[in-house]
Amino acid sequence: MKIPIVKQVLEANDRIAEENKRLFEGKKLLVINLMSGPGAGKTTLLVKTIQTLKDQYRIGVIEGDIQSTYDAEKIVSAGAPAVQINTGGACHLDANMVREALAHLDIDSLDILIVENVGNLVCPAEFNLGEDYKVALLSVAEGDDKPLKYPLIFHESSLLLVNKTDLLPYVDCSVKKVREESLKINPRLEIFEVSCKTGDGLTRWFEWLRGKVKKKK
Amino acid sequence: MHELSIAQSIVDIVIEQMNIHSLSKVESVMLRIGALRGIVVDSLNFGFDVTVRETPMEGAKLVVETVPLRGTCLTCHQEFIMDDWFGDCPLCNSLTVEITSGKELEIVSIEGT
Repeated sequence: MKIPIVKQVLEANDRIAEENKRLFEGKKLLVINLMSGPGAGKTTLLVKTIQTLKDQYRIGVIEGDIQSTYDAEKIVSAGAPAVQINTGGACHLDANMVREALAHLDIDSLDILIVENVGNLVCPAEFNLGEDYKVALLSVAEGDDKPLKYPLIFHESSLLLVNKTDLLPYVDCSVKKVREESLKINPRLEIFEVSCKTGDGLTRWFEWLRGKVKKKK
Repeated sequence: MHELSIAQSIVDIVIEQMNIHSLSKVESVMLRIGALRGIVVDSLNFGFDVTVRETPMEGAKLVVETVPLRGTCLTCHQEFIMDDWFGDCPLCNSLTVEITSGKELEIVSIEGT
């Protein structure tokens, strides 16, 4: 007997993501899902962001890692509340993990919540968390072939930060190629070049965040 | 690695459907998976076989239909099938093409008794 059912495989995740989104909307909280491969600089970006914007906005962070609390400790040292999720092996965060983490954050007191996903260019892009925007980070040291090799993350993101531009003299990476190929995948993608180490280009990222908070209020 | 989470979601949904339709055995689960999803079918089958062990679905198989990528030109609004992640519009050669299908990930039907 053949039974037609037509169900979205990730409907359980999408349903919880939708509930998260409604909760965030109600609180006018801007939520960013920050994704990249391991070592691209997500945590450093967050530390710089918190240091620069903490007098203007209240920022909270959910840190996703397979194990360890290194990242959450760095965020707390930078002056923002953070909750560490240890996925215990899973290569991405899902909406339910985020929902559970919310219980440990006073989200009523926040303007911006940034979810730092598990370092992975593939799976995090599959799972909606209820965020307003997905932001991808790619470091030039990873190479300019990444947009075409891992297209989904570039397709799903609203903003791409090309990080570690201070390393450009030492690595074979054409930012022009990263730009062209990621725009072919997603013509609406915004792209900023930054160096979290020197601070170069970060002003545009801060401005982008300010604009999005304003839009949300 | 996301294949294992996806296999788990499929099993959860199908077991719920088995109860609704009073099925005691499922032979196959028909899926539609978009080319954009980056799902490795072999890994999905492996994850599925592991997940169904010792459940009412033990022995069930996946049948996967791959959905091609479709794009819409943002300049002239023509819709067309794409063989790659990007391409120019066949009508006006514009490079600003938005992908409109290829993200499907759905169970279409189940076959069982």
